[in-house]
Amino acid sequence: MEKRELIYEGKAKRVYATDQIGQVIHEFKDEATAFDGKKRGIIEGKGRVNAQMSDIIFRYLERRGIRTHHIKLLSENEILTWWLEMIPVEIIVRNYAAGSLAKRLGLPERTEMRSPLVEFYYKSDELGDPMLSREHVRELGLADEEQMDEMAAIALKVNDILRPYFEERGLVLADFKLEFGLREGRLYLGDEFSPDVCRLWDTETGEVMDKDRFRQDLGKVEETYAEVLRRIGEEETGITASVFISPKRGILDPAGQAALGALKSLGFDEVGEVRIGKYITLRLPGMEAERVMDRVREMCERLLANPIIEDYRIEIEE
Amino acid sequence: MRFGVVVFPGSNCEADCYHVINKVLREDVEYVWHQETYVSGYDCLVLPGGFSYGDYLRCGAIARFSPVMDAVSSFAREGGLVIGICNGFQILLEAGLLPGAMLRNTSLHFICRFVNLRVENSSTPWTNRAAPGQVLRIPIAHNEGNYVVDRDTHRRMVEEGRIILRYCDGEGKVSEEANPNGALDNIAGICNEGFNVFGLMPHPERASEEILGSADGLVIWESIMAYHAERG
Ligand SMILES: Nc1ncnc2c1ncn2[C@@H]1O[C@H](COP(=O)(O)OP(=O)(O)O)[C@@H](O)[C@H]1O
Ligand SMILES: [Mg+2]
Repeated sequence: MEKRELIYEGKAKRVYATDQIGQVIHEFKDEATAFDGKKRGIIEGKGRVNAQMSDIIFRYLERRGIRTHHIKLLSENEILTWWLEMIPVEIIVRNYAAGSLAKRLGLPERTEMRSPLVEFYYKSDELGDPMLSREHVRELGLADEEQMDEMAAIALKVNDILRPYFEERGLVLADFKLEFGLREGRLYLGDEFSPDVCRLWDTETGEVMDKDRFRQDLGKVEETYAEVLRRIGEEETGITASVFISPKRGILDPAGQAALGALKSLGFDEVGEVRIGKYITLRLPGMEAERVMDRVREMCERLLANPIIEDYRIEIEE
Repeated sequence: MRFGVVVFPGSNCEADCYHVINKVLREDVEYVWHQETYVSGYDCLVLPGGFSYGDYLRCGAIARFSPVMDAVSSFAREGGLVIGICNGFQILLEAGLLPGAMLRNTSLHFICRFVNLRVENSSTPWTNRAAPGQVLRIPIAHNEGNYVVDRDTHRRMVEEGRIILRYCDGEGKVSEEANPNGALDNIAGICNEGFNVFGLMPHPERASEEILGSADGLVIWESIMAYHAERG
């Protein structure tokens, strides 16, 4: 994969052509802007976090049937995607009132919506991204009725997938923005998913865990971006193998004997034997279940256990 | 004679080995990095002590897969002299170049002190300068030196004279009391079938100058040199 000329430089990313027809590289920047570019700054490490988070989220959405532009993560801050003919409409889904909506409708911050709202905004820096009604979209010829319906439906489906996803990771998904585009006549989810384009609040403390920390000068901006990635990056779905390694029968286990002696002296006379071993967990993302057992056994034979002195047992868990 | 001292991340006795070979024996010596995939021009390779790869998983278990170990294995297969000291011995065991394995010392303590070793076979490349049954005073420093091997292999090793050093008392008596770590049959050092690969828990490089309290380690170094000189 070869990076070719710069096609577009936006506020958060640079988009490059590649030697593959129809594929582009998004290079995520550390630069941050807010309030239509009136506030500017650098968030150290943001490019890395946003690229990696987008990679994780888009792959997760793909596995759940959402068609996205994502191909793969290329480096710590670059993503390879399909090139889309972008529809200049931003779709926003809100579970809670915050920011502009709270102000516009006079709702207290963090009021929960009766049901998720879907809104359309015109992606236009000159106009300051004004809100659009469906009639406006039709009038401007930005998308047809069918596409509007489809974008709204996908946006709600994404919300249904991601709300519990973030909930499990200790984060409330308050709202988020999506961008769509067309490829071979079909609608694809494009752009990014990161703390730049959504609001996340810590489930326990309510702490702001997104770009609002930058907008409102709340401090700990870098740390927060890193923390969000840590929470979602930690355990991706996949197969987990547990390996239990214990000293072979008939092989002396000095540590086990010492523990046995200590238990006896505490009055636990019922203990006949103690053997102390090791417990290893392996996460195997993207591996077919049928192959796991054989592979892990091979790992045990070659490295994890020493068959001269140790026995092992493997447990697989999906 | 030209020695190569193999350095793994976490080795910490390589400088001692280098010093003894270079300054005491006055022989050629070079460090061989663990990333090396090819070794040549050496008459003897030394795997020194230490905590290669932090001793994670098991002592020597990760070091044995370093690139240099393929080269060490083929060097040994072609009859080259390979000596593994302490952690180096553990690496040779994990690599299957010597039989058996190491358990934790029965005392569960890291033991660092002088021990007495009886030379059980004095006609090897490693011990030809020792008198039969000679007692050597050399220090050990390890947590996992409790050697085990299956019964058949043990019997065969005894028959073939491949048990080279055993822990004993000052008079050369091999006994339970003289066994510092619980090793099977008081085994402190063994050879492969060809006698060109030698593993031992004691550190001869720490006892090769009188100022260090013993120069008995020289018996081993000088045996290697004598063997090499004779073989030509
Ligand atoms: N798959 C894609 N193909 C082409 N353009 C895309 C794709 N995904 C996102 N884009 C566009 O690329 C730009 C990404 O850079 P960004 O810094 O976010 O720009 P902006 O400041 O315009 O939001 C956006 O204009 C976005 O609409
Ligand atoms: Mg953007």
